[in-house]
Amino acid sequence: MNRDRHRISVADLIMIGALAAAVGGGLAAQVGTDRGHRALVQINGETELRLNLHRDGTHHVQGPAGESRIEVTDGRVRIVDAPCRRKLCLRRGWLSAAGESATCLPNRLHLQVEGSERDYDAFNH
Amino acid sequence: MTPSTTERDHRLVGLATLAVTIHVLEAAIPSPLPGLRPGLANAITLVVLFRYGWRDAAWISLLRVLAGSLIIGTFLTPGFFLSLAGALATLVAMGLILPLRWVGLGPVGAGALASLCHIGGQLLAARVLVIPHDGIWLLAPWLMAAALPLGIMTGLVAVETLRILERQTPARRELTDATG
Repeated sequence: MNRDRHRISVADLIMIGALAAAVGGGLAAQVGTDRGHRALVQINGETELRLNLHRDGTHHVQGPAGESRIEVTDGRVRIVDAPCRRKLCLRRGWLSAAGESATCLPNRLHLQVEGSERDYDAFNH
Repeated sequence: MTPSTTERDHRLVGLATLAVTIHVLEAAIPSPLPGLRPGLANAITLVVLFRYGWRDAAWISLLRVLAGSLIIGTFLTPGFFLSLAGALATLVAMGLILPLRWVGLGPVGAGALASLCHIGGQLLAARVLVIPHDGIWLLAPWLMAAALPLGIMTGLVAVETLRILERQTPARRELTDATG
C-alpha cells in the first residue's frame, strides 16, 4: 500500500511514455502527410468534378449561387473566384496535402484533396 | 416519507460542488483553442477515483457536466454534449485502467490518459453532431499534444491533494468498500 509514496510511479511513466509516443506518431503521420494527386469537387454533396493536380488549368463549376472558379497549378489547387460575399473559400488558399479541403457554403461547393490513401492519422480507418 | 441521505451522499454532493465551482471558474478563462481547458476540475474526479473508487468518480464527473452547464448556460447546447461525451469516454477509460493501480499506476498516469480521452470523446461527438466531416480528425494530434501536459499537471494536483487528504484521514476503509 505504500507504493504511493512516490508521486509519479514507474507505471505512470510507462503510461505517459506510451501516450506521448502515440500522440507523437499521430503528429508525425500528419506532418508527413502524402501530397494528394487528385481533388474532388462536390456540389450539394454530389461529385461534380475530379481534378488531376498534375494537370494545370482553370475549371468552372456551376453551383446554386453561381459560378466558382478553381485553379490547379503545380500539384496544388485553390478556389480563385466564388459568387459569395465573404469569399471564405478563397482565403483557404492553396491545398495540396491529402485530406485538406475548402468549402463554399453559399454555393454548396466542397473541394477536397484526395491522397493515394485516405487515412491521415491513427483514428481514421 | 422523507428520503434519507447517507454519509456518502453528503460527501458526493460536497465534492461535486467543488468540481462544479472549479469548472465554472475555468469556463471564464479565455482559451487559445476552443475545447482546450486546463481541466482542473478533473483533478477532483481523479482524487475521488483514487480515494473512493470509480462509482463515486462517475457521479462527480457527470454531476459536474450537468450542473456546470446549467450554471454557465450551455445545457443541451452542442458544447454540453461535447463535454458529456468527453466525460463519458474518460469514465470508461478510467474504469478499464483503474485495476492497474495495483501495479503502481497513480493519478499522474491516469490523468494523462483521462485528458486524451476527454479530447477523443469530444472530437467524436463533434464529428457526429457539429462537423460531420472526417477533416476534424486532423485536429486530433494537435489537441492531444496540448492535452497531454495539461493532463499530467492535473494528475500532479490530484496526487498532492490525495497526500494531504491521506495525512488527515486515511481512506483505507473507504477504498475497500467502494471499489466493488
